[in-house]
Amino acid sequence: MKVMVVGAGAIGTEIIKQMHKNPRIEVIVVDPKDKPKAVAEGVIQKVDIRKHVTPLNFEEVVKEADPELVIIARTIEDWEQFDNLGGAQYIIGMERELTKFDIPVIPVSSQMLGPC
Amino acid sequence: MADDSDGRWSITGSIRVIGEEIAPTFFKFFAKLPKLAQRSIKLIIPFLFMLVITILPVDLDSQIKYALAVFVCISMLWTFGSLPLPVTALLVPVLLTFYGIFPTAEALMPFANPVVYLLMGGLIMAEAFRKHGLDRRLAYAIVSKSEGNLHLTLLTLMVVSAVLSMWISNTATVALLIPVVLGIASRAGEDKGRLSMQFLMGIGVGAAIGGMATITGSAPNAVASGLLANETPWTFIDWMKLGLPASIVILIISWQILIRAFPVGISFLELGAIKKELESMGPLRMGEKKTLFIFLPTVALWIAGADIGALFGFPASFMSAAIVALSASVLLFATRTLDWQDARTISWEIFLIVGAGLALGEGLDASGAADWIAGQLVSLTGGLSLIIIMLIVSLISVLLSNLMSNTATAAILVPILIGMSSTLMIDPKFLVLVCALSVSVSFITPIGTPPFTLIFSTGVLSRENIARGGLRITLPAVLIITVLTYLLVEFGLV
Repeated sequence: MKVMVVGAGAIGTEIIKQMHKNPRIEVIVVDPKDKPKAVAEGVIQKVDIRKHVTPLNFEEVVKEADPELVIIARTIEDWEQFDNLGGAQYIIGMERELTKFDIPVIPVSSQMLGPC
Repeated sequence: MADDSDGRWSITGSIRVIGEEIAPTFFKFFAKLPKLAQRSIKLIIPFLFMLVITILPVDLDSQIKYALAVFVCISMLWTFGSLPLPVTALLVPVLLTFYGIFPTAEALMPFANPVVYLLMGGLIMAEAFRKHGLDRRLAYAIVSKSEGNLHLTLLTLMVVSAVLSMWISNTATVALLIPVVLGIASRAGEDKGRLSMQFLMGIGVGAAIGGMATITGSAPNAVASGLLANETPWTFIDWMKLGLPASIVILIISWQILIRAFPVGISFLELGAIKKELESMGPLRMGEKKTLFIFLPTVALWIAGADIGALFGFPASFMSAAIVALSASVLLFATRTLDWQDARTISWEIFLIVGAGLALGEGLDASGAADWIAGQLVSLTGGLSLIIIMLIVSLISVLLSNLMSNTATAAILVPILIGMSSTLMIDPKFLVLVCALSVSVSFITPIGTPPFTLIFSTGVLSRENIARGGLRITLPAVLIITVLTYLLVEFGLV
């Protein structure tokens, strides 16, 4: 099974670690940073697709990765400069938009952030 | 509210960008230094300057010299981002008391200025909007009214952004609208790239422009109002008499500019998803109703509180904007619209920065340093007409606020402008208001304000796109702010 994980920061790293426990899962990691937390901690060697995923390019990224499932795992820490200033609003809004596409998407970031 | 004051905004990013162009060797050298060395240099230099000014053997009253030393040190710390902005803010009363410019109580008094509590009330109200999704509902409701006409969609997005940011954080407004905008644009086929650029610029500009309209709309407005209130009677509605028309005029012009700056090949867009989203929200929920029930009378009292209070024979202070804001905050908690846990997410550091800005201004004023700097500036601008001086002030404010925090820019410039007005024997509102409004027009660099950084981070707009679009809006905005401020103050309408 091919799973695309969007975000290799705090939550993304944990998800990737869990996914790696099952050898039948192939993980494709998408993150705009060159060395996000998952790379820095050695969980993955490199980011597979270096892009900032938005509703604008989501379909293209999905086409490139061709996953069966997408997990959105962006955290407030990934937007550290906006912690109190709209970061949560941004992440939740973006997740909401991404789940509107005709692809199975599991957003996990907003569950970590609480209601918005 | 201008949330540029998040404690991390500095000139450093811009210097890096500009540095690549004008002084590559120096900046490459600086960038190669270890992080610790970079931080130490940025921290030591401001204090070195402070020391040099303190011991400089010049024929200047010692109080003026000490106030200048504090001013230069704090300005540099804010400019270089040597410390987080709120930490630098804490240093202001420390230095003012160290140099004996103020005793402790007076140095700390500006942190309890009514305008600080007005801002607090605004932020708590904004939290209620955010928590109950009233901001999102408002955004979807207004945007759906455009019926898919592209030009109208852009205008409604800008209006939503402006209206929300009159009362809530500019960054939160933009953060809320970015996904909506990208979602709409993604349905535009081949034009989605250009359209998303137009829309993103629209919400960024709209948020900044909306923030000009009220004192609670932007922290620089609060700094300017706090200092202006020491010089002349100044209320919430006084600000709106200038801020609101300026916002409306600039918004309409910006809308037309953006249509031309980012042309799109299509003229209609399917907004079915937005309407579906709005429908899925159902009727107003209890939390939204309670928020509106408190918000609407609060706005009415901010605008006409003095008249309403007089009608019922209340003491005048009871209906002041700050007390109304605090009463509204208490009501939000008392009606369980918010709980204290929600208040923890509020950006409390803004109060320190605004308080420090006011303390710095009062320190400069009380010591005579503001008058001294103003005297030097007046000799430079001698012979220039008032409107030209206002135009220069506006341009300097725009330039600085594109490179550093808007609030810090206002905190640095406003005290000097009050002193300059006194030297020129003109109403301080001319220069202070032009400066306070102009600092919100920082659309040229992605680090000008956090909303633009957030927009830039989507990867849709390049630095060049932002500079090109932003500059086209900035120049007319500067002219509008200058002329409108001049006319309204000159004819006693503000």
